[in-house]
Amino acid sequence: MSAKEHILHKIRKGLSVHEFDDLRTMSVDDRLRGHPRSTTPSYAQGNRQDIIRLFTKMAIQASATVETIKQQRSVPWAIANFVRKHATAGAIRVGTDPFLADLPWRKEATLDLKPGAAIEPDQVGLSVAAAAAAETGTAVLTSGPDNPTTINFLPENHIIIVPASRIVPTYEDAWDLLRSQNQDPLSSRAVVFITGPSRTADVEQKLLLGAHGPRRLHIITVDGA
Amino acid sequence: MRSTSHKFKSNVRAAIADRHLQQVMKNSRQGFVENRAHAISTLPEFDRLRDDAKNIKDHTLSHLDLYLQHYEAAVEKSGGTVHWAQTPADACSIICDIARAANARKITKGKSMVSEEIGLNQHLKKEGFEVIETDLGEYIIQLRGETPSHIIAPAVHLSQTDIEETFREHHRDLDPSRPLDDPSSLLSEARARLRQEFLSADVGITGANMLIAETGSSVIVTNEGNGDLTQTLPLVHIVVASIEKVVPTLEDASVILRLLARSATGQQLSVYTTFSTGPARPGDPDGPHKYHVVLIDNDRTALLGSEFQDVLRCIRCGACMNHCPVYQSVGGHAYGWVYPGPIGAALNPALIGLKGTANLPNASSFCGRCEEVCPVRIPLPKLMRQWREQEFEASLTPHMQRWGLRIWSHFARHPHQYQIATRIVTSTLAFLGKKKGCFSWLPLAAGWTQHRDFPTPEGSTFQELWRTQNKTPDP
Repeated sequence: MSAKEHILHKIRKGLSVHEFDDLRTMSVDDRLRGHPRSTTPSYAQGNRQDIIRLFTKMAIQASATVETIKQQRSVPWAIANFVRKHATAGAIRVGTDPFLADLPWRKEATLDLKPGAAIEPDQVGLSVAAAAAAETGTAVLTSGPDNPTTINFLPENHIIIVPASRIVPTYEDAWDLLRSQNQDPLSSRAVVFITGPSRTADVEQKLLLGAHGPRRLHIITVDGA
Repeated sequence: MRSTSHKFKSNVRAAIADRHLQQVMKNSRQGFVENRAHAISTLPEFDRLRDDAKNIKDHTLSHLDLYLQHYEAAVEKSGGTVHWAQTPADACSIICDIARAANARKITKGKSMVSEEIGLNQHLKKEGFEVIETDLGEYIIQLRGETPSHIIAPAVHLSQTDIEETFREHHRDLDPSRPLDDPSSLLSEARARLRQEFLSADVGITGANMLIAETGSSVIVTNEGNGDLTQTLPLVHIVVASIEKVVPTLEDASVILRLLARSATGQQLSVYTTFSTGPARPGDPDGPHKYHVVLIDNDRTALLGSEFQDVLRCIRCGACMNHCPVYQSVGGHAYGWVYPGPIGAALNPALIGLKGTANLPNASSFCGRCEEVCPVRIPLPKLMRQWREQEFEASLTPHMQRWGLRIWSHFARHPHQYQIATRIVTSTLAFLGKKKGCFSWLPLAAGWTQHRDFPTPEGSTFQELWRTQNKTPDP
């Protein structure tokens, strides 16, 4: 017997069940196919405006900064503002997300967008969220050429664009949104839930922002997008 | 990891006499408890979520063979490989082989308790690999050659000054006169140090907070971002996880995520929760080229269907130890093996045998706080009681204690004799200790009187008082 067979055998023996048991198989298949929801927080309910407000409140509570802009075409302006404010020199690392294409980047001559995976010593990374869960102010990022994962973690400053239409109440709603975007919920290698900038409390339980990941997380929500 | 649980009693004496440890523990104690209480107060559905999580885990455990097979199929569909290991030695050698096949030299690691359980670092080091822990707390204790004293805050037993000394001793290439006297300077130094390691590692090893059968994903939950740099930058990612980590769906994982951070650190959610599924896709600009999962049994299967199965629901949040008066008095190292606190008392005997660990389930006042705060409702006091029973049945209990229990059980079965005996003892003690008001020594009660005086009884037994008070009508 292989290690796998040994382990499966011991599990069945412990549970006193047989390998071929239609009821058990059906109960597992049903759950995997139907992926039923359990309890969700009641505070994450309300109309669109309530949900967007909750997302903003929770993200700020997690030490992110949040800014709302009215139009998609103001994205370059908002990013230039952030860069000016924090005096970060050098290029901005970014993927090829279609949301960022055809924006008036030329109006902001100071911005230098570098496509590709993040490397040392990139100072600013820019991503677009695939979804956002209001219940904890969490941005949901999917990996791939559009939004390379390293951008989430290597630069000191991370800017995440969240189109308002992608802000949903709960994690379960975020999964449904990803499922509707792709056939397979995880066609991307990685899905990353980001809630605030990186931190540690490993020195005497004192909270410090900016551990191995970004020190600053700036979220730009875009109304009507 | 070698266990010192059999020396628990002397470990405890040393820990209580260690003024430095006591000071550090005192400073950290309240934070976890208060933060958790606050996080829960903002989520009215918390108790219903606990029921949900318990049900999800129970359902998964009772179909574990099937979910593991679904999980494996999903991992393989995404291009990853699943390895099955029955013992710690098997797991270590599988991981070693993967690293060797990748021509690896340097291995970075995210925090993983199961890797402590299987002694992975020692094994890899022995085989010639350089292993670097990247979680700040784990990095600090690795430099010091220590083991974690808490499952989510591994360096909770150290003060800022301890960490400063450790960095000065090990980071010899840096200016010895550099200031390192505040937490942020310590963090900056570790960040710069570890950044180089992340970028030059050949293999990254992480644990998994969950595995998802539906999608074949491994989930890690971190605050620092070290786990993600570990699993994203090297060309090979190895996930080490025990078999009970699997949950059916993304929806089920969501329920557990709502409980985990709130119970552990009091955050609404940890900063990064990453679902990794297989290696980089064609055209991906980053991510590992190889993705391996090592599924470890290490005696979990023996718990299925047993009276200890509930312990397999554990999601490793650490709430039980944060709320445990024993853990808070002695710290994690006194427990002598990987898992300290109430969860260790319930789990360690199953993993390394009751003989060397029988002290642990006895190290409880049964105050019940661990069960009260457990997000997956593990009846920890009940499990500890069951271990005590097994200890008694296996005649591992010390001789004197067995005699004591035998006498006790005799009186418990003969209440009349019990009443007479207590009346004699109480009135004798009342007479003898009348003057002083307390006893500083009593025969057969040194365990009590060594540490505190025994107050003189007032002269009547509980039952006598009960009878007279119940006769008196309420005013």
